[in-house]
Amino acid sequence: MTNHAAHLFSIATGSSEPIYRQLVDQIKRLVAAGQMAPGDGMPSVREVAQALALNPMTVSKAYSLLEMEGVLTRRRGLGMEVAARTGTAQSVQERAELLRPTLERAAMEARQLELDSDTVLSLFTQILKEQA
Amino acid sequence: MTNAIIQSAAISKQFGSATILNQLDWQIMPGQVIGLLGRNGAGKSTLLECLLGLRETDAGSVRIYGEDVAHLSDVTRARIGYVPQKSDLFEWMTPRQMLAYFKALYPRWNGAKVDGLLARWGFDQLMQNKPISKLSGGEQQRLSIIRALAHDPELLVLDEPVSALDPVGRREFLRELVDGVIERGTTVVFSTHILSDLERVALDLAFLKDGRIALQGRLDDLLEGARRVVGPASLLDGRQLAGELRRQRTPDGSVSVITHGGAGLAQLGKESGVRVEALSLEDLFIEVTQ
Amino acid sequence: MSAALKGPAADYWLLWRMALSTRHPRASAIVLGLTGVATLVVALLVQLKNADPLLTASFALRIALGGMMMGWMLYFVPGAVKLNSPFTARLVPRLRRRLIELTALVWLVAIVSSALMAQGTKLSPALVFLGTGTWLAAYGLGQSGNRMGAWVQFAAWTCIVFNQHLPAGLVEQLKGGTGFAVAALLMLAFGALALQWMFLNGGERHYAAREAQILQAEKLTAAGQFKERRQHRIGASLYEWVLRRDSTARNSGRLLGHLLGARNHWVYRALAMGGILAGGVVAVGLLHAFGSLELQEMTANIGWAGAALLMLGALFDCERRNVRLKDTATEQALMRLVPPLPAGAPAFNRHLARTLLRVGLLEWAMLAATVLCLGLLSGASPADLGMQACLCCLTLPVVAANLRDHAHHAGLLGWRLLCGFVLSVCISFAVGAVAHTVFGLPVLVGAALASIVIAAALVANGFRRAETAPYAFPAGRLA
Repeated sequence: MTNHAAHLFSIATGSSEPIYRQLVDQIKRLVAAGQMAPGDGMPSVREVAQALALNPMTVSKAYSLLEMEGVLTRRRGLGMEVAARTGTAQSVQERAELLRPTLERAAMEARQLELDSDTVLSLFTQILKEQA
Repeated sequence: MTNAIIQSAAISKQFGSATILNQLDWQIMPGQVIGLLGRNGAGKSTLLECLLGLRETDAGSVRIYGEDVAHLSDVTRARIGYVPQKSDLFEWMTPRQMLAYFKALYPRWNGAKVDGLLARWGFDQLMQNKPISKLSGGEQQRLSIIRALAHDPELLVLDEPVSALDPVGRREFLRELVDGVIERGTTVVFSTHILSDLERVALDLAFLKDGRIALQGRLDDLLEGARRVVGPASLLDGRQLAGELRRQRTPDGSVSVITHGGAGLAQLGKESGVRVEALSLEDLFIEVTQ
Repeated sequence: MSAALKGPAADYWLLWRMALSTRHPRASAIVLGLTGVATLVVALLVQLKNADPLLTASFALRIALGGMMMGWMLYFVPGAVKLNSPFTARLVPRLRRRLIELTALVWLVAIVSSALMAQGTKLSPALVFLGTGTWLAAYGLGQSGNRMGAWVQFAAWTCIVFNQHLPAGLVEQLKGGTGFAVAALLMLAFGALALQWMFLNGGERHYAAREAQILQAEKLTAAGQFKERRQHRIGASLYEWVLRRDSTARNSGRLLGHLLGARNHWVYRALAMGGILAGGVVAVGLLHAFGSLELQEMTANIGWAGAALLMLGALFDCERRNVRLKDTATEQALMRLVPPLPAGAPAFNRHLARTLLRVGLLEWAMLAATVLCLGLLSGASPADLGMQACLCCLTLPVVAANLRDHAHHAGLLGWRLLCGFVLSVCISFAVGAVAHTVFGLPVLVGAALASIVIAAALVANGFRRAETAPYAFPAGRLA
């Protein structure tokens, strides 16, 4: 039941992704990776805004989005905390969804290189085997 | 519309034969944190000066808190903080004298905040008693910011406030902006070239081009919607895309279109030979202001 | 003090101190202190002499008021104008209003008290009232850089000084009754207008006025005086031709000479001399056409001496070159890296010294030639021309003042240059007197010869120092 500090997060300016989206993706990844366990306290909006020199509304927007998607819940008077997971199956699906942006980018590049899906898939399988 | 803090209608301004502002309308709502972007010489400083009544406009009207800027009451003036681009800081005085002078003229003065900022931003005892003309450009700029923040303004207008500061100085300034200014619901308007600072702190953007606000909107929406579509002329010529901003022929014969209606382009991206790219703020700036 | 009065009074005190601090951080204390001391001293003296408390009080009051007025005029008004920038006028609450109020208050107090003090003297209080009021208002206006202010000030001053020449009827009208009332109203209106124009309220005019004020202030500094200004067309085209010629010739010496700036090139001196000669020709022509014979004779006899004063221009030239050398530090740094200029400190310094000497001698020669021509024109005798030539030679040593260790010193400026010149003239005359007694030479000829020798010695010394000095154009002044 740890309370996480704001310096766990980082954002990059100059990217094409808005900052609130970067925060959302980052928190999702941290939760999925297990670095943030269910019931852990999240740093307050103010703390995160101070640490990263961000507009509090941006942080608040990210938190609200995560709350809507069920990743975070609001505790009365105590701020946000990581929501409890409702089963491992969902987590697999959640994690798969997180991979989607990267795969979409890879798919676009494959299309630009005019490769057919069979070649791409066999290449991906090979890479997965190398990484394992 | 009626509760806009700064309401400017059809302002025009000419310097000799050059038109700097051309029938410009702009409303700034309470609590907004808006960044004003534009090329060098586009007239950002002139626009901010006209909004505050420091320069007269050739046409149009500007109202702040419902009052005509030509005749601001003392109460309204006490709610406005301004950091000019060229520091106008009474160089013959020391920082301490200058701050004491302004303290006597403003009804509300946050001495604790001033002392805290002076200490955190590197103004030790020695420097506080040196004439301002002997301070470096960055120190003068920091002092200018402290002076503008000292009377807890409700409207803060900043004209390139961090141009002379190093990255640490800029980060400190942003922190102070987040902590002491935005938290209190102050309306902030600032012009800057440093896009990374804007991305962190601003929620809205306005691009000044050819004397008008060419593009305005929430930063997140602009970034999410902005796309560059590059494809062969055969597919894109004559085809109007949603939210199109600029269309240009590249040297190799294809067409490049900048739009900010990104959602409807997913279909287009699937056509062969067409590339849909997301844009960063810098790319958007370059494309919009050219 | 009631709360209503306390607010403005505190503001006035603050603004007084702040406006005075533009001149000197402690100016307020100094002005008030001196006034206080003077008042006490005078009061004491008067009391001791006359033991009449009323007289003492009146004297003390006059001194106190006088001191405050001096402080107000010399320190407060310029400072207040400086405090009133477009930003502070528009956005700082109460500032402009208080400045105007304070200035107006002091103005009114000044003219009323001066009118009161004029009671019992042979000056008419009404005229004193009107005159002081107009002059002070115009003074304030002039301080803010407004041209009209300077003119009205001058006009008011002339009227005051030459008041006997004013039509008597008008003066009588002004002393009382409706004439005075009308004049007073006009004066008050002028005062109000002056206040509005002294303390502008934002807008383009305000920004332009600030720029003009900064330029004015700059002209008072040494560097600002000789700073590059806009050139007139003839000079600009001539200079452009010379620059093009030197650039194509790639003569590094000549190119170095351009370093001092366009306005300070010898081309302008040549133009100026040409202009003076032309003027001289016209003047002499007019003299011969219309002037009486005595006037012509007088010109012939002493006109040449007056022309010789032109030679003092050599002092200004030298100072100008030294100031420009100090001022063009960034340009100098660039010149150092340019291939055609010799590498190595001694060679470079020698090159620079040669260039400076050449330019200095050229301008001196132009001055001398003009002076001699003017002498010829005025019809001076050959003996007089000879004396004129000797006087010219007396200023020759000044040329050597440009040849210094530029890395360490900024060169002789201002009064130091003048002292050096006076010293050289004295030595020359001493030698001339000695030569007169020993050889029977005329004093001036001996002095001229002595000056030439001094000049040669100084130049040689300059060159010797150039050899051993570090690079003449360091990145910053060495200690």
